[in-house]
Order: sequence, then structure tokens, then C-alpha cells
Amino acid sequence: MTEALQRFGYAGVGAILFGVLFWGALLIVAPMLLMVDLAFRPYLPNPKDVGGPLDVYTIQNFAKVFLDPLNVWVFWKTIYASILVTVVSLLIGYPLSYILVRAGRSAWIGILMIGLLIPFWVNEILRTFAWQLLLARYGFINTVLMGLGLIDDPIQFTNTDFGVQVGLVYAYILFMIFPLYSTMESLDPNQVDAARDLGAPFWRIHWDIVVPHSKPGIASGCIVTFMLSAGSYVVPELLGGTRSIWFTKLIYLQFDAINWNLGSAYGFTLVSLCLVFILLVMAMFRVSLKDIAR
Amino acid sequence: MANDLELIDVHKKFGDFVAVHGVSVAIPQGEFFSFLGPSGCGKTTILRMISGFIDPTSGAIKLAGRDLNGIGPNKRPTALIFQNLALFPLMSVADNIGYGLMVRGVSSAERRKVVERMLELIALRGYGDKRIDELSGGQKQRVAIARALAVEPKVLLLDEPLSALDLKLRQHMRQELRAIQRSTGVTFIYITHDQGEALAMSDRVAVMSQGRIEQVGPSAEVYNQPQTAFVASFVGENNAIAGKVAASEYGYAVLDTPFGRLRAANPRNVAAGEAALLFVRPERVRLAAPGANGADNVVESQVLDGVFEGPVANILLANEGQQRPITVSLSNDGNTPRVARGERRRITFSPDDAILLPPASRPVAEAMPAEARA
Repeated sequence: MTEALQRFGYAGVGAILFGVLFWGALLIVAPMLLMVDLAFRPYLPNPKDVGGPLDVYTIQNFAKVFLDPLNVWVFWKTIYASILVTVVSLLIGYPLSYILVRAGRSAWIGILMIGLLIPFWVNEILRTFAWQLLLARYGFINTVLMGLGLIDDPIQFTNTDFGVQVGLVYAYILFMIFPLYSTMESLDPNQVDAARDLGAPFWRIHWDIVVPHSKPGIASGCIVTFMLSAGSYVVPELLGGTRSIWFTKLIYLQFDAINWNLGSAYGFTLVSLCLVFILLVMAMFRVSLKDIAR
Repeated sequence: MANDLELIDVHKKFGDFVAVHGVSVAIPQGEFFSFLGPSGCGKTTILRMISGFIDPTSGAIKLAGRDLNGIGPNKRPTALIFQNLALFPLMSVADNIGYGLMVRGVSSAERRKVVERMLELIALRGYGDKRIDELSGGQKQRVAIARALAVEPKVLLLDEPLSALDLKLRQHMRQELRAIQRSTGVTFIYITHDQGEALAMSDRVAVMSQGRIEQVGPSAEVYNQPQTAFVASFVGENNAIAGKVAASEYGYAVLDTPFGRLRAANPRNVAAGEAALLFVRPERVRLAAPGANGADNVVESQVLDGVFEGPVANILLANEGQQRPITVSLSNDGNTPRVARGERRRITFSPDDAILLPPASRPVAEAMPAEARA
């Protein structure tokens, strides 16, 4: 702080603080509080009633969310599927990151990394459309499988939960790989060699050395992947269609029907439970916010 | 003996680069053996081959007569101490030391006993619960040794583990390593570019250059009777005087040099008419008493500079236009004569203290990286 004062002066530090506070308070905290406020008030179709005697604090919106079994089912399905997507991303991302790190800085690794990155320069909607083409009833995968004679009839991939999950893994796996890669890269390769030299078999080296070291990366990768999956709108919309409804779709439908109050209650529910999930993951991996920020 | 280690004509190539070129050496059980050489001489490659991280391109590495080829590092009865120690920072001192036993499935009660014994050996009793980052450099060093010894290796490999320590601690750790080696009786194979370290600790030293062993022998032998120009110049300080052999007889030779005719032992029998290097240690050269002569070599030259180093004072002498001065080390024993810069002085050394060797296959200066000369 004193160093910052020396460098930028009171005016400079003041300007920076103001900018950060402005950003945080006005653009992030205020809308959130507004949403919480909306969620606890009834939907009044007549704008004249807003702020009037009918506009009282109530939990009726949340009652609607939780008393409708379909809502609850979609909600838990979203959470379950997001966990599944997170776990699958971790199972794919962990070995991939480890191989990338251990292979060092060869030209091939550079090409591989660019190969991983380039698809993400393309808009998420377009990428998801590409998966629609791959997974369609007479799309690439079904055509190949049938051509090989492995299946007789096309498999229904699109408009299913499975299709959505595949799309989500693809859409967000980089958010798993990058934090994993960067924590693994900071692991001294001699640590791995030392464990091996002391007699540790392959799986023990990972369990005792690589995983504990990569814990902050695993935790932040899991949290980001989970949050993005649970909050994804485009992927379920395009790959799930009408048959596989995601919770975000329910939120959207309320706002679409101009019922901001109920929509806010839906949104608030999702955000709170995702926060609970984050805290659970952090407790499970015994990592603090400081570790993740590192 | 039972656990002798043998390297038989070991080669290692990385692509076109030959890192190790036909190394053969037998290391009996319980020996403190050092590979000494500049960086890039292949000593680390040898270490990694013995520990099993890389396989030789050809040749065999045998322990107790059994070929180790194809046995992974986690199955070999060797333990390696890394240059940066590679202690596990997320584990306690006790867990570090017990790790090798844990992965071998040793019960926790048995493990605790071994860890206690190891902590005693390295004089760190009661440090078991400490974190690694709470230890000093020397303590970390000793924990690394304990971690490696806990698995009762037949051979302990050390990859310049002292290089990160400051001078005082390094000298102390030399003695400690030597004491631990004697008390455990485990074969120690030590890799270093620091000739002082190698000479001080080892029973035998192998001096390496460009993937080959130049000379193997006890410290004093390598220092006093170098067999190649590389060994003579790499191990310790040495004066090298280039010249041409004028005559050679009875193991002695006469060499024509810019400092005049000098006589020296000629163990490699360099023939008359050939170029050769005369090596004489600075501590074997004396300032000549006025009028002294006899059978010794005598050189008269101009004092360029004096360098006081504490236990010795070095005087550098050279004639006009000479690139390489002769260094004379005078013991700081209270009777050190005063020598002024620019003064002409006569110096003398016995032909038995001077060794004539064929010139190195490549320039000596190039063979010595800066950190090795320091």
C-alpha cells in the first residue's frame, strides 16, 4: 500500500480504488442486490401497484420454485449433470495436462496447445452447432458407426441429456485444463523422479505428489467448469432442445414472461446452491480462496 | 564383496551427441566414489543411468553381478539425492523420511521406528513434525540423506547436493557426509564439478571429460600423479608451461620453454622433438635463495602481481610478452618473504615435482567452464 502511494500518489491510488469500487459496487453488487430484492416481492402485472400496498416482502416466489416437482427435478438434474460434466472434464483434463507438462516445450506440444486453443476462438454458439452436426440423427458419428456396421439404426444423441453433457464437456474443458496445466507446470519434475526413485509406483506418485500439488488447480478448474455448466444456456438449448430442459431455461422463461420476480427467485436459487457447491468443493480439497487466487 | 557396482563399457547417445563414451569402472561395496568433471562431461548421465532413469545405449551396469538393465528406478536398490534435494514440501519431515517405506507397504509402527533412527543418525531428533520450509539449508540436506537411506539402498547416488550451500556449511557437510558414509557402510557415488569436494571426501575419484574417464584413483594419486593434461589442469591449481621435448631419458625429460630449459618427470614417455606441457603445482615452487642451484630447475622472471589468499600468498611471475604467468604459492607461516611488484626473482622447483604430459586433445581453458575454475 505504501509502495502504491509512493508510485501513484494519493490521487492515483484514489482513482484506482474508485474505479474498482465503482466496477464492483455498481456493476456487480448492486444488480445482485436488486435481484435478491425482486425475488422476495410478488409479481404485480400492473406497474402502478409496484411500491404500493400490494408490494410486500414475501417468500411466495420461492414457494413456487420449490413446490413445483418439475422445477425441483430440473434443478437437481442440472446440478447432477454439471457435477458429471465436471468429473468427466477432470478425468480427461488431468492426464492431458500432465502429459502436456511432462512433454516439455517441444514443437509438437506447441502445435497441440494451439490445436486446443483455436476452437475456442470460435463463438460458443457456432461450436455447439458443430456438435449438433456431429451428433445429429444422420450426422457424422451415426453415419460412421453405421458405415462400420457397429449399429443398425442411428442413436439418438441430440435432444437428450447425454448430448447436452457431451457438448458441455467440450465447451468448458479448457477451463479445466488451463488451471490444471499451470499448477502442474510449477511442480518440480525432480519431485516426481524422487518419489519414483524411492519406489513409488505410478499411481502413488500421482496420489502423493502430483494431486496434492495440483489441488488449487483442480479446485479452481472444477469450480469454473461446474459454474459454467450449471449456468449454460446455449448448449442445452441447441443440443437438448425441448426434450432436455436445463434450469437456466426455466429462469429464462420467467423473464421472457415478464415475471422478473419469479425469474429472480429462480436465479437466486441457482446462484446460492452453486455457492454451496463451491464451498463444499473447497472444503473437500482443503483449499482456501488464497490458494485458488494464486 | 556382495554389492559391488560395475560399469562395463557403458555408452550413452542422445541423437548424434555421445554423452558417455565407453565408461568402465568397478566400485566395491562401501566405497565413497566420486565422478569429477566440468558440466557437460557426462557425469550426471552416468548417475541417471545407475539410478535407472535412463538406459545405456550399450554396455552394462551390474550390481552384485546382476545386470540392472530394464529395471526401473522404483525397483532398483539405489537411492538418489537430487541437486535441489526434491524434498516433498507438502509433507512433514517424518513423512518425507518414511515415504520410501510407506510406498513399500511397511507398517506405520515399523516406519516410525526407522524414522526415529534416521533422525538420530542425522542429529535432528524431535524434528519429525516440522514442515520442510521450517528447516535451514543444512537441515534440509540431512533430511534428504535420511530419506534416501531409510529405504536401505545398496548404493546411494548424490548429484552435487552441496552446491547450493554456502562455503562454511559446505565444508561442514563434507565431513558429515563422510561420517554418515562410514557409519552406514553404504556405497556412496558422488557427482561434482568441485574438485575440492571430490578430493576431500572420496576414497577414489574418476575425473571425466567429454564423456570419458580420464583417470581413476585415490584423491592423492589423482592430484599428485595426473596422467593427462586435462586432469593436471582441472584438478587443483597448476602451472602449465608449454614447450618442446629436447631430450628424454630414464623417465625424465628436458623441455625447451619460454622460461628456459626445464627438467621434469616423463611418466607418459613423450619422445624428443614432440610438444608437451610441463605441470608443476604452485605449492611445489619456491623462491630460490640467492646463489642456490644444484639439480633443481631455476627460472628467473619478473613479479607481475601478488594475491593474498589467507593461508597462502600467491605470486605471479612472467617475462615480457608472456601470456601465462607462473604462480608460486607461499605458505603464510609467518616467514613469508616480501616480494614487490616489478622485482626480478629467481624461483626453483624439483624435476620430481614437475610432470611432463602430452598436450590435451583440445585447449585446456575451453575444457574448464568458469564455475569449475572458480
